[in-house]
Amino acid sequence: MKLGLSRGPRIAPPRLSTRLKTVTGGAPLLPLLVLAGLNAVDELDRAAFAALSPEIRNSFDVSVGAIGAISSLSSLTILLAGYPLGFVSDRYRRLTVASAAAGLWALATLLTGIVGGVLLLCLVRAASGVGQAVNRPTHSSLLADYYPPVTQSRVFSLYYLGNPIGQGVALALIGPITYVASRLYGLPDGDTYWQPVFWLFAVPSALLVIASFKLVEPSRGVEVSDAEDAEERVPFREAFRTILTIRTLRRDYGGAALVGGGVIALVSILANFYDEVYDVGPGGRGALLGIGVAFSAAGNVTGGFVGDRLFRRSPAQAQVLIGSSIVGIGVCFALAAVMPTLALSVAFAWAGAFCNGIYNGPGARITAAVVPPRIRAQGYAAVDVFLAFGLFTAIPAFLVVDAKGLRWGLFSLTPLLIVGGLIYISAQKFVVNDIARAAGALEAERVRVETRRRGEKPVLLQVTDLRAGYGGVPVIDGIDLTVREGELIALLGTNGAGKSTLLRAISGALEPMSGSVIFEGRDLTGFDPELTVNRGIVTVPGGQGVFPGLTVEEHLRLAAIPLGGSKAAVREAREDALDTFPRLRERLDQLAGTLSGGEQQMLTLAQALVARPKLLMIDELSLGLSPKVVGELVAVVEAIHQRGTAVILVEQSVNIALSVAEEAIFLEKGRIRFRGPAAELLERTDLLRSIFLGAGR
Amino acid sequence: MPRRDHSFRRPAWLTLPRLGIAASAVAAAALLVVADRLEGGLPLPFTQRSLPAGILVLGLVVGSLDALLGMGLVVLYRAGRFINFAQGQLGAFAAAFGIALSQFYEKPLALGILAGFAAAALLAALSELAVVRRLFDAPRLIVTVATIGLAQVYAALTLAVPGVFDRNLNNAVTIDVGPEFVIRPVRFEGGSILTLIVVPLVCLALVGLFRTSLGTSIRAVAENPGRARLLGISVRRVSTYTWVIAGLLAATTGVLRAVNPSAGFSYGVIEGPSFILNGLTAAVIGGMTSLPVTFVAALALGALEQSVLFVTGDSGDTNLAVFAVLLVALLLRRRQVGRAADARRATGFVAVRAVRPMPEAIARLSIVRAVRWGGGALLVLLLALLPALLGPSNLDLANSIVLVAMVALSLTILTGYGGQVSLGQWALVGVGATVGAVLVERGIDFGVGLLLVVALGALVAVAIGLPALRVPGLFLAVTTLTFAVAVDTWLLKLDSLQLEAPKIVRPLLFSVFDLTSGAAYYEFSLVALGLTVLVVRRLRQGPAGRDLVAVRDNSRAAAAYGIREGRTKLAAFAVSGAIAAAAGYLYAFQQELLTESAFSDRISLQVFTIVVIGGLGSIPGALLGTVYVLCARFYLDEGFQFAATGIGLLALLLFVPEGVGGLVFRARDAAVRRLAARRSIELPSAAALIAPAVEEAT
Repeated sequence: MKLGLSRGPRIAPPRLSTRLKTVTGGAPLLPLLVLAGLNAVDELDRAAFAALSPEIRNSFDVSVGAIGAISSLSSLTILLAGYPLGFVSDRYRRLTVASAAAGLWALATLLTGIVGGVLLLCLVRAASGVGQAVNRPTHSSLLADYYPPVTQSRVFSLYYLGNPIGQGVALALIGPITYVASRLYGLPDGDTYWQPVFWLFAVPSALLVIASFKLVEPSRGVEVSDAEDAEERVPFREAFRTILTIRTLRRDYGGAALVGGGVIALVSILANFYDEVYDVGPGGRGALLGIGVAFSAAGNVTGGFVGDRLFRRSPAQAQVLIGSSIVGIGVCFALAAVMPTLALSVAFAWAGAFCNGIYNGPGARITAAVVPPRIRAQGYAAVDVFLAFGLFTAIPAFLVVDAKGLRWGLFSLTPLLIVGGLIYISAQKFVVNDIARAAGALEAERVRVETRRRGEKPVLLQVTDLRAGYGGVPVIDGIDLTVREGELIALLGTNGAGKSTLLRAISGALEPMSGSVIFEGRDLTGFDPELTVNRGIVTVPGGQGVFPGLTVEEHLRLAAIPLGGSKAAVREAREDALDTFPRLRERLDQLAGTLSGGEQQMLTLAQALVARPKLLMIDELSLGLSPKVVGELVAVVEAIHQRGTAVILVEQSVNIALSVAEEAIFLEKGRIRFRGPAAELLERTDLLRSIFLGAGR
Repeated sequence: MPRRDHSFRRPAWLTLPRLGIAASAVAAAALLVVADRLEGGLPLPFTQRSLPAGILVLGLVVGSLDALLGMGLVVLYRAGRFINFAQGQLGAFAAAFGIALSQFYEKPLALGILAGFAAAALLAALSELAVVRRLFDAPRLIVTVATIGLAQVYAALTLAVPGVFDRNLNNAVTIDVGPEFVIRPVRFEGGSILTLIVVPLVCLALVGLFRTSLGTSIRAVAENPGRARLLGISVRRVSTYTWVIAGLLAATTGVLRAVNPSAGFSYGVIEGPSFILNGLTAAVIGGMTSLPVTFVAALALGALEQSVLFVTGDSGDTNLAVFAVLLVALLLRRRQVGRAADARRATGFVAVRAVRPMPEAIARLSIVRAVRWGGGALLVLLLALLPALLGPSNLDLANSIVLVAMVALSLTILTGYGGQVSLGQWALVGVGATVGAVLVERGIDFGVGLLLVVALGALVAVAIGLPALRVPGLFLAVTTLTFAVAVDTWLLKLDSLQLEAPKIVRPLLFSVFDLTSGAAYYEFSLVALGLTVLVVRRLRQGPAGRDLVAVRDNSRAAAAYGIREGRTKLAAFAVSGAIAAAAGYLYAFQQELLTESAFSDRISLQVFTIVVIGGLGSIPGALLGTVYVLCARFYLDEGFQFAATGIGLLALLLFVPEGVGGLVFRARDAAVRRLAARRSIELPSAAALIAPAVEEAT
């Protein structure tokens, strides 16, 4: 792979901070330094626990397996609490969350050096996992708002430098501290006095918590007041749904579950591999692994610069970089496993470590770009949860170690990385669209906030740059549409212009290819129709709207599902619908398949009435019906509109549509050709002729 | 319809099925009482025997078990309009798992059974999530085929149970459940009593379930999933719930079977399709929708089965009786109101992708011609030289592959081009083999025998195909499967054919070619396969194949062009039956002897998986699929065989619906595109040489 390494400016600027500022695009450095510092000091505790586990095991008198289980408790915390904590970060002031978490893990670190019982130790270790669970999501969310997107790969890669630095510092300090402590306050039976390490390691965390008080919370995308902020918060369920509908992330989850397993197994197998296969002593192993860490730090920085450069060309290429670097790890370690000599094996292992750093920065930047600001922490947390899920995907590799030895064990985990990397690469086709969608959600929020400030009629539905179609061919191509509360809009167009496709994409019956659908301020793009119905988008399909084998009564019962459980509300809605269509009351026990066409259309309208829509979308009201029935139905539609419900009416019959609608939209070949008062469209004979004569196709 | 004046007005609750059920209950009770009172039981006409009441009651017990299975099938059919061939195997797994658990940990059986229930529910939910849900938009036939794959995966799991726990588990468990009593001449133990109590209760509970809002949702989703979603019904959740319910039903079936001495239990037994036959037949009689009718029909079938068994003592006869009942039920099946949309969704392999021919401009290039002819010649040469490379056992395998590939090609015509699912193709092979063996036994010449067998195969296939003209494709699968079971257990009984020494001697062909050696017979089979390939190719390229595909894809439009649907379909049945029977004939000579298990209905299902794995309607696909499945059968243990074919089938259905053969063509098209780009040849359709699957109209 061709990777242009950035060597930095030729003429070195005088000061480091000025140089660093070229990294951040001139933005202040303090937030990055503080957050990266927090990330680094979080490593201290974990590294110390890993390095001192033999001594800790002695003190608590537990088995090797038990100490392994205790140290993986923190992963369990991520698995269970990661996503909820992400939600908390998205909901409340992130800096508070970050410093509270830092305080908590500082306390956990301190207590690790104090507690006496195994049970308490478990508790404390689980609590220390909160650091990992909070740091990446919250910090990344903050960094994404502190720094402009063009620099973010670099910013994130510098942030992730905290991990190797923290590890290095911890490993460098543990030895001296235990030596000095054991010398000064030596225990009578010659045991190592390891507890002071944890006491001291709690100190930098506490200091950085204090430093974080100096930071200012950035706004999430749009500058808003506190009251407006409360208005714009995204509820848990909805955020969760959105996180699940971002296609780039969906691929990333699959990749992360595999890669997480690969990396977890790698870390624990590699040292033993050197030990048993090549007989390297503890000092040598430390050196080899330490240099490996340095390589991954180098990879980290490289990935940051290369990532930003690729991003400028196309975000999809940055995603390819992420995936191929992961494939690279797999290939390098596969080679490292089969190499006949130690030197070659180490060389490939270091190359793998280098690859292992590359994806950090660009990965975080892509996540920032495809997730709307208000739920970013949850986006990061979701990926982390899947990485932690690697605890389980790593199991087969350990089984191989037991059965076939370390060489094959190391080799057997490389498929996880290679396949995981390929999955990451495969996400590249979604990146551009997902970024546009996130941008659409942000834009919609801006419009909403401004509308509210100006006191205008609120926007109910905002569709931005929507593309949707069948079999990869777009039928609607870049539709922008705003519907305000209480509007009645006629949607007109020739056959195949994309009217029904547009409705289907809004309701979620058809997954859009790109663009965004924002309803009442919530991003509903790609949500399943059963969820958009619950939010108040109700569709009346043209033709085939009833279930032939169900009775009228059962139809009404089904239609009440979005109302939830309240019996009174259901009864009221049902009576209302039956009063509107008395003819249905006579036929409650009749199978819908035996109703006439007009009655069937009434039944679908009645169902829509029961569901209490905020936005009613009617597809082909008059299809195949007699003028008299159509007249009745149109009256009902107008009555619904009078109650304040917004209506989008798709009609073949221009006369019917324009007689009720005040606004009209004309669609041709998947694009909006006209939008304005209905009366004006009547004058546009050039457009209307195509409907009547079938031209323009 | 003119209104007739009824002197008696039937009240609304007194529907016809309910009347029928009440009537049959009264009749059954009367029958039982009479049988119990009479000395020796109910006298049977045309026989010297009489039927004691105990046999009828035993029939009811066995029928109850089938009823449970049938109701599970009905629940899933009502929810998703497909037939779940895995229902029986899931129950068998649940029972084996539960009983093994309780034995291994020496805990009470009830605990184990509870775990078995949980496992079945979990497995059903997983199957739904991983497989069925992904096929949501697929034609229902595809989902039905997927359940065949699921059944094989469940079979692999069932076989794995003893290995996972302890190979020395007490096989053939006897389970002591409560009291016992005797109705001449049968002793009924607690398990039977339990069955007679539990199953009617389950039936009532299910009827109640369909009245709840979940039940209404299930029906709504089945009728029009798109519309149901727009009403706020989560189609996925409904589907998962339905599968969990079906899983629990399956577990109940499996457990009751295990505690029933009449059915019995032992580890590692794969029951195969015959296991679900009666339940399926009952469900078909119930129109795949009515739970009570299914229930009663299953009881009646059970009684019929036990009576036949009592009288003739031959389980093959009972299967034949069931086959007859099923045929009658299918032929009497009425079309129901407003099911037009179903029919569209149910029939036809719409997902089959057509392979387009190579563009002429490309095909004319010398390099392409060289690759085509040279490659073809090389392949033929390699295949012909195989005997020199292989040892005797591998050569045997190769010969089997060649012959089974012919069977797969017969399915390519019928299922691939014709869209007619036949799960009984292997039974046709069995017919060919057995009849051939009989003919040779009677001293009939090899060539003449082949001709006779071909004619017979065509005839039998047409007879099976006749109901296909009336019933939608899904039910044809049921008919052919029943046929397979009936043939397996009834027709191919060697003693009934009076074959003294079932050793078949290979002939001296045209008095010149001695086919006795394995290598010679292999070459002979290869020639037969080559001819079959040519026939199938010719057929597809000619007008007959065109008609067949037209009827498959849009029978109405085809009719508008003057294509006769019935004749076209039957012709496909005839050709495919002829090929299958011929393959069977050759197979008999290859094996040189006939064993009873050679033509089991289980293999019939596996043969069908061959063409799905290979890719329906693709000749190379059928060949490659045969290689895959037969190698798996030859080289793997039984459990892994099921896993390999089952998972292979599912993976292909989910990820590569065009099958292995489609992959071959994909590679070819990529090469063609590259070539076209280099030679700068304009290809209007080069972007999509494989036509995209037809989108379901919305």
